[in-house]
Amino acid sequence: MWIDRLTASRTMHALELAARFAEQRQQVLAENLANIDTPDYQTRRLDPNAFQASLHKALAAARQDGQRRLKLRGNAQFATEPDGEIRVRPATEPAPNVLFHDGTNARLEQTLTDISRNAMSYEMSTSLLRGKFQNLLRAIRGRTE
Amino acid sequence: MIRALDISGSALTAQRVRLDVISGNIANAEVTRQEDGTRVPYRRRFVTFMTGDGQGGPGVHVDEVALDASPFREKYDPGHADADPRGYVQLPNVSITMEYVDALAASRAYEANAAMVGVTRTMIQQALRLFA
Repeated sequence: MWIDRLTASRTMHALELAARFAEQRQQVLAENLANIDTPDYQTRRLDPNAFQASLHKALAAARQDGQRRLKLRGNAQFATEPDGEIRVRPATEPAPNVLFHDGTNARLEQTLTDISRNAMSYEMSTSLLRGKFQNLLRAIRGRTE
Repeated sequence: MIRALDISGSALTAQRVRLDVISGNIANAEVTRQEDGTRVPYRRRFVTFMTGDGQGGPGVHVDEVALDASPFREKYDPGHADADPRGYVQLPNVSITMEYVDALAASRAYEANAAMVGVTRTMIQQALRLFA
């Protein structure tokens, strides 16, 4: 449909992927926080910096091939499926501390900081996406109010 | 996203159960008889957490409420109805200090997870506003 061609821009797909990644990461962080008192629990993580780097590469590659869909490749933690979904496999975080005898590496402050940062990055993606949709709406209505 | 809410919810339940168990311990800290009248003091209970929501999903749950096998406290009180021939009364192996510290940790963890529910809720609202 013609509307698909309007919405299937690379920027929109990039923003969508960023939002989906933040959504998945929110689950991982929720699990880390939920298990803050569980003995032997090893925290899991999705690396946001690796995601950003991968997204950057995918954007560059898509721009070169004239593709509208982005493909995230080359990272064990996340990849895009053919249907556009993002599949994640969180890694177990290495536990460098020797404080707890069960080797757990739960850090409340770190987890809470990550949660705030993740929520902000989600907000950024959704606000930019919303701006995009509003632009489209303005074009459809033919007026700028 | 709703999954993240479930995960935080499972943690809230688990921490609440932990607080329930702690209240039970504090309430029974001086109890010297069992429900059936036998002269055995109350044994301290504690929870063990396990990862996963217990039905195969992610989260945390209370695996079991176990009995503390450590020895009972003894107090010299020959006039007590439950004193043994030496004059000692056996009291529960509950330490109020330990229970109090544990209760603080549980309520802080509860607070953190409740805050997490708030963050996730805001994120869901932002996603819903895409349509507006």
